[in-house]
Amino acid sequence: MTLLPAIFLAASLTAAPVPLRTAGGPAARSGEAESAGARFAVVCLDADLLACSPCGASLLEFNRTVPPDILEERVVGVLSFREDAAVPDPRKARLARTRWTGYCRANGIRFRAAVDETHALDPLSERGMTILLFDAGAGILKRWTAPFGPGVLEDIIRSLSVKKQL
Amino acid sequence: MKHRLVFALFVLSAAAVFATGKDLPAVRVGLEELAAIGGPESDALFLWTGISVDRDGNVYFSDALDCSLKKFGPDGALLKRAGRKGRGPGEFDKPVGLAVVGERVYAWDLYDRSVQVFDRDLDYRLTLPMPGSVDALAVLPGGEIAACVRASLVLTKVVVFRPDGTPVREFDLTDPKDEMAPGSISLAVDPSGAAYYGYLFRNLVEKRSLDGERIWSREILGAGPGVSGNVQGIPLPAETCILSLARDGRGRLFVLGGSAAGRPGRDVFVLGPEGAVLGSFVLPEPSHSVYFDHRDFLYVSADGGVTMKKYRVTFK
Repeated sequence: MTLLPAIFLAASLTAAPVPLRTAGGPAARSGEAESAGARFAVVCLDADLLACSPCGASLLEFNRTVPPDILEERVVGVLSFREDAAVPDPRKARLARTRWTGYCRANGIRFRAAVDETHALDPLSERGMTILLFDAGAGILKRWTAPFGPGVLEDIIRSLSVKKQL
Repeated sequence: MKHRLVFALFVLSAAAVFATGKDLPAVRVGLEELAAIGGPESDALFLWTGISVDRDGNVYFSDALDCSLKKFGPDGALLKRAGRKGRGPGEFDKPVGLAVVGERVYAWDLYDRSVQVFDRDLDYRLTLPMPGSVDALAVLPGGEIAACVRASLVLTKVVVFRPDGTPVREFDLTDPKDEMAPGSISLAVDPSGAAYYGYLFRNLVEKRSLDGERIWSREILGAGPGVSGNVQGIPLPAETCILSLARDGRGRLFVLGGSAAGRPGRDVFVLGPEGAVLGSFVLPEPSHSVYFDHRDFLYVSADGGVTMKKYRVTFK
């Protein structure tokens, strides 16, 4: 399986370099330059499982724990959906988008998502949610699969908050 | 436009007379699509679970994905959206059904041991405690309300209560010693107060009296489901049997087959009031539900619950 589609999907959603805000923290005050758009997380989800409460528990915990500025600027979702490979149906992708809209409305999801019409990332959401940590220069740095063990969300936050040394 | 409509009707009719392959006669049914709500380009519905139509033709939905109740006018316009995610009054985690009874709308959640009551404007009124999570609810001829309530994985009770929540009586629908979980149970009531029950995990449709005495029972799918695993030591079936059932104004019972049927969510078996299987037909798209309003229009889901379609049903 290639992860290229994930990079394209993520890149399309984070096309404009976004300064990493640190809410006026020590790094910003000291004037350190930060790596704009250097790291981002791709959250791979199955749109057909959004209504499954146990399946969605990790997603909601992720959305609740990760600071809003990171969710909005450093996280993108990739939605997989089921489709008969022999009979591609463009409505299926639109339905996946519609379901995501409803899910976001009820749960206050703060990151954007794109639908993976290539199905290249389907295996990553087969058993629930997978999060990939990308670095613009180095590719995939880490990978976590839900349910998350202790410390994983802190690890994700730390990884997405890291600053590039000049 | 007219030609397209005629063609669509022809296609639907052709689909509807297709036999299910269960040695049942094909019922010649015409399905004329009259209206639809929602769709992939709309944000009206996301995953509707329950539906009910009031005497004025307003259509109410519970939506499990945005944790809401919605009211649409007879013209399909959204009139009101109520509810949000949560466990408090007027809130839902996974609303799975609702029923309009007179001026009240009764709604229930997959995970709550209660029924929430709203008025027809979807303003929250009160919560009625139940002895378990509710599968289905229907109004009895005298105005009392019957609910199928899951007291445990294997035990489902029928609880009869007055509209204000006062309990009247209850009886066990399933045997607590059963080895297999029955799953969610569908319910429809006839004018005598007798009730029809359909079991999600059992190849079983039955009719019972007001007091729970079995009048008849039928296996309509040919075979029951196999076992796929277990929860808390209780075997869980590999397939679904009866997804939903509904009764039309002429007393015919429409039973929607699950994955154990030939075409999951599409095979509809038509039974007479005494349990005779009259035949079957096939819905154009898979649905999780069948529902008839007081004018005998059929409502089913499409697009995995993003769309509702309303049909006029004609028997030929």
